[in-house]
Amino acid sequence: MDHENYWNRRMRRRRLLGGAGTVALGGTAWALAGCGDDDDSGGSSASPTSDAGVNPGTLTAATPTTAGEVVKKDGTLKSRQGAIFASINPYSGLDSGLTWGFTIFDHLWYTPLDTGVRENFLAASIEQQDPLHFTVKLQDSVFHDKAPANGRAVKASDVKASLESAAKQTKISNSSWWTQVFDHIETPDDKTVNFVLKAVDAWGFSSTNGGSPIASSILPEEIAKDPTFMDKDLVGSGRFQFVSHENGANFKLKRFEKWRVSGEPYLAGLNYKLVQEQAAALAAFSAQEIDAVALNNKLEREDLDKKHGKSIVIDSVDSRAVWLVQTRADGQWADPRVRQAIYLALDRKEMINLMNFGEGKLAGPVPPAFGEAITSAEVDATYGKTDVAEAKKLLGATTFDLNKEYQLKYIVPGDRYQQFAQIVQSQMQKNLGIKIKLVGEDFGKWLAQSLYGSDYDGFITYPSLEYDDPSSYIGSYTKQIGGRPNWAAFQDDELDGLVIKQKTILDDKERRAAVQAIQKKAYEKAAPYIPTFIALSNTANWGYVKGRVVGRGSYGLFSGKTYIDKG
Amino acid sequence: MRQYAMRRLAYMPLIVVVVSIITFFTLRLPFANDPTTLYVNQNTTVEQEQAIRKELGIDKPVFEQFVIWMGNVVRGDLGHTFRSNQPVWPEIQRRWPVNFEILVLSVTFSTLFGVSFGVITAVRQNSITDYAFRVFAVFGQSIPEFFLLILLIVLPSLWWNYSPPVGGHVSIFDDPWTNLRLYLPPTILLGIGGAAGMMRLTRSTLLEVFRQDYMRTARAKGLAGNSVVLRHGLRNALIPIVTLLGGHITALFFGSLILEQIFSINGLGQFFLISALTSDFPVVQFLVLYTAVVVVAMNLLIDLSYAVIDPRVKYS
Repeated sequence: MDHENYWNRRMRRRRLLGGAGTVALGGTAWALAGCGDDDDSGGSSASPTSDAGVNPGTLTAATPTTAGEVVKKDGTLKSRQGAIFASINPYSGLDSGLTWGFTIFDHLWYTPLDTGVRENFLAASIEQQDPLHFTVKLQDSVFHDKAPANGRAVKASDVKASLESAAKQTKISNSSWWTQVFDHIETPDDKTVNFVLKAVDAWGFSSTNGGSPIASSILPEEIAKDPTFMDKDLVGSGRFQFVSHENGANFKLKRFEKWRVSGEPYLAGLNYKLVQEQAAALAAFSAQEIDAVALNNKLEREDLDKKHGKSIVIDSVDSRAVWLVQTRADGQWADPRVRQAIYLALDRKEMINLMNFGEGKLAGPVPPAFGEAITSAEVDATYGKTDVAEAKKLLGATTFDLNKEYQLKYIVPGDRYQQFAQIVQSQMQKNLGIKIKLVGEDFGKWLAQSLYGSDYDGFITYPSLEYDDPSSYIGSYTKQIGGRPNWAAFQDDELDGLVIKQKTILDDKERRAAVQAIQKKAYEKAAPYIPTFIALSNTANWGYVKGRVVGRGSYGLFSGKTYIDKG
Repeated sequence: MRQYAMRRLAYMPLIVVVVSIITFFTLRLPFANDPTTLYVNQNTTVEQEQAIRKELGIDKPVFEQFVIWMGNVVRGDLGHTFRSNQPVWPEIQRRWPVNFEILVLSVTFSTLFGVSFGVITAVRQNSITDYAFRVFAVFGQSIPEFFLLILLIVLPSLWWNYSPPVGGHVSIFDDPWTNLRLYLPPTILLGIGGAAGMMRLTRSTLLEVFRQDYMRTARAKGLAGNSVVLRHGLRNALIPIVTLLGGHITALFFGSLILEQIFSINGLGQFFLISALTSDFPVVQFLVLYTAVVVVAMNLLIDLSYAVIDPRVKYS
């Protein structure tokens, strides 16, 4: 295998995600963090689903800049902020980390979803000596003209301090790449950054790992050494400068005139406006108080379409969040027939109907948007299959205690989390006679104690995060997840070995096959992470927002070519 | 009266301390939420968790934590919020103008509508006007605030594509038009909702007063109708109205959570709610102190106002 060639060519090819994937990463991440709407869902367009996994929605053609169009600079884009940030410090919350990662901070590289090919940002070049070492040469760039950096040049020592500091943070939702793969950085001069890794990871450049929009944010060294500075102010070298906020809401950003890409960004500023209720967001969108809004379902989409017609553009895309039912894998749950019975007793089509008005797709562990996902035919025959009679038979052959009442823990607040939990409760009771008590928990307790700490007696339900590489979706099959024992107490040597091994396979085709094989193996072994379906996400934009980058996932948020053209 | 007021004020520290103790220890009961859980990710080690505990000041024995906190409070240091790592007091201060405006407008409208409608219905007892206002009062009390406020957003949007301004608090001194567009409609609506109870109370109290001998005497003396109702009738009916009003004001001191949530106003209500949900101990502990002080102070003010309204009330 030619490693040099490997690192510089496409890591994988994914199907086009399209549309509002840009919003989706932040949106769902915020949702899971309990900081936003639980609106992964949505409808789809009336258009048939294309092979690319994209539902084009209505009127997407008007969105991008068309040939000959005159760019009008200096407009301000008004975006919705769904929830108040706990802190503006990007090291303190997923919401602030993602928002500033796409605007205020620069990064060495980023890997778009659609191509899977790493693109250099601040990095002028990246050379891979071997799978454990690579060298990044920096372009010229300066920090924002605010203390403590005061407009000085970005140096290799800033990158080292930033990434090594981020790797130690406990409040960032870091992947295990930062603790188990990344080792340290050496800086022989101001323009050279040498990465030293502890282990091979074929997904290292993805935005879930080394290209994380949060952890790979480049801060001035002074701030990286004392990140509490960011409790009060933010200084980066990204396209926009932080201007103000109102107690964690209503952020104002202005264009950074010395941004390393000359002439960009076109927008003079970004205003994030706090709009918590969906009804208020729809009203604010219709009144052009905000320029874009994520839609909860197809009814909202149809309503807006009817109301504003060709003045707006609606992007509809497959979500990358899979709604999961997680059981335990120890005690009486250790018998795989118990878990198989639960797989077969879940009626996913009913879930899609009840939660999304029939608009959604059955999913395996890796969402259908990824090239590494198993085919829809395979999903139908495995994860998507419902057979209540067989489920009862399987459960009846075990010693599973049906007299006991089990827990199902879900996140509150969030109507959709509760709705999904209620559907699972109902199906388990109706199809298998398993009695379930619903336990709603605030996100912090649910995440750290119940999920990470395996503190649940029966079931736990949630939509997975929208990862940018398939490896993360299958990471839950390992015996250790991050630094903790498997959340479901699932200890399977074979799957553990396969998941760890696929990260080291540098050949794209081989690795894809390995990921697919793992998904099939997980079904055979009835792994306790039971995927059900993905929803579709809709986002409406006013047609005057031009130059948006669509179909490239969160990469689109880095675009400096968006502008406002109100005629 | 001064002695009475001083005696009541002397109880305040005792009440505050007792309430604080109960809250402080309840927050730290074994089954309560552990705030550390909010600050860990899947890679966090046990040692890092312990470091977070230390950083938050919750690694020490509970009694020691209480002594440290109480000592700091006495010195005027309310601590830093867990979530934003900012001093608690400025966090409250920054949000206070929002709630002050909501409080003033809501109380003004609910009093204005409640008392005036109450007087009208009492004077015109059993007339069509009386029935109409009483039906309105029943509706006002039975329709939940959140529903009315959502309608206030949805209907203008449906009819005129209108939305209240979004983007946060705007001072009335900086931009009066935007400020009033943001605050006036919801506070009028809340005022109408809150007026329902006050209207019923005003009406029933006034009707009671109208049957008193001194009212008959006032009329017999030939005083004008307005003078009889407002000077002699309403003044004597004010005590229960002021009591109810005091309760409204006390509640609004903590923010109008539903209004803030629906109109996306980042005020004290949301701050307190999120802090409570996320076990932000310094904020919750301060909230309890604040609640105790406000409740005690408002009750005292209401009690003292009785003597002003009715000279027959004497405090010794």
